[in-house]
Amino acid sequence: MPRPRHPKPEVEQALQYAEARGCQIEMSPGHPWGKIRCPGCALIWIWSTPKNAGNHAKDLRHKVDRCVG
Amino acid sequence: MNEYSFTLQIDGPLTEERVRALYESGCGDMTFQGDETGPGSADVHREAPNFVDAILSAVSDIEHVRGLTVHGVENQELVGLADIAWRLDRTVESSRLLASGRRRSGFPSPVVRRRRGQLWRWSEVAAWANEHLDMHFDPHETDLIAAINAALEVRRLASRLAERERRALRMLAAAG
Repeated sequence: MPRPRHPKPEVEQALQYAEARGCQIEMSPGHPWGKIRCPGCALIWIWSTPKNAGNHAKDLRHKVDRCVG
Repeated sequence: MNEYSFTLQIDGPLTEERVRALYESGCGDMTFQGDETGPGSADVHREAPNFVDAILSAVSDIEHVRGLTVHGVENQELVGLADIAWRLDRTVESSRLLASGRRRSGFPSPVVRRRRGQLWRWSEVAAWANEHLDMHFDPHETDLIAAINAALEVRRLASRLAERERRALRMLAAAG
C-alpha cells in the first residue's frame, strides 16, 4: 500500500527526494508525522506541522544528503 | 527579529515520546536526527534579536525535555557539498555547479579530495558567497560559536569539580 502524502507539499517533495536515494519513510501516529530511515544513519524525524514547511523540507534534504553522500 | 540557522549537537536518546515533547516545548522550528542509541542533532532556524539569543533559546527549549542536553553548536571548518548547500540555501546540485565553476568563477578550491566527496574550507566559501552571491556571513560568528562551545564544555565538566574550582573558573571566565 502506498504511504500517505505529507500535507505540506514542500515536505512531501523532500520525502520523495529521500525515497529516490534509497531511504524509507515510516509513519508515526500524531506528532511526529513520521521518520526517515536511511541505510547506516540515525532516524530523521518529520513534523506534521513544522513552524516553516520550507525550512523543514530543506533540513530533511540536508540530513539525507549527509547520510547518503 | 532575524532568523538564524545553525546545527546543535545533542546528548541523550531520541525516542518517539521525547520527539513529541520537543515539539510541545517549542522546537517546531528544528529538524531532529537521532534514535535510541544517541547522540543526535538538530538543524535550527530560530527568530531572535541576535545570534547568541537564538542559540540560547534553542538550547533552553531542547533541554526543557528531561534527559536531553545540548553539548555543542556545530562549527565545522571543513564542509562537504551537503553542508555548503544547506548554508547557502541551495540544492546540492546547484552547489556542485558553483563549485565546478560552471555557474560562476572563482569558487574556492577544495582542501581535501577524497573518493567519497571533496571538502572545502568554510571561511573561504563564506567569503566567496558574500562577494559573489550577495550573502552576509559574519566571520565573527565562528569566534562566537567557539566561545559558546567552550561555555557548554565548562558546564558539562563543572559537576565533576569542587566548589572552589568552579569559583576559580567563574573568575577566569569573567576576566578580560
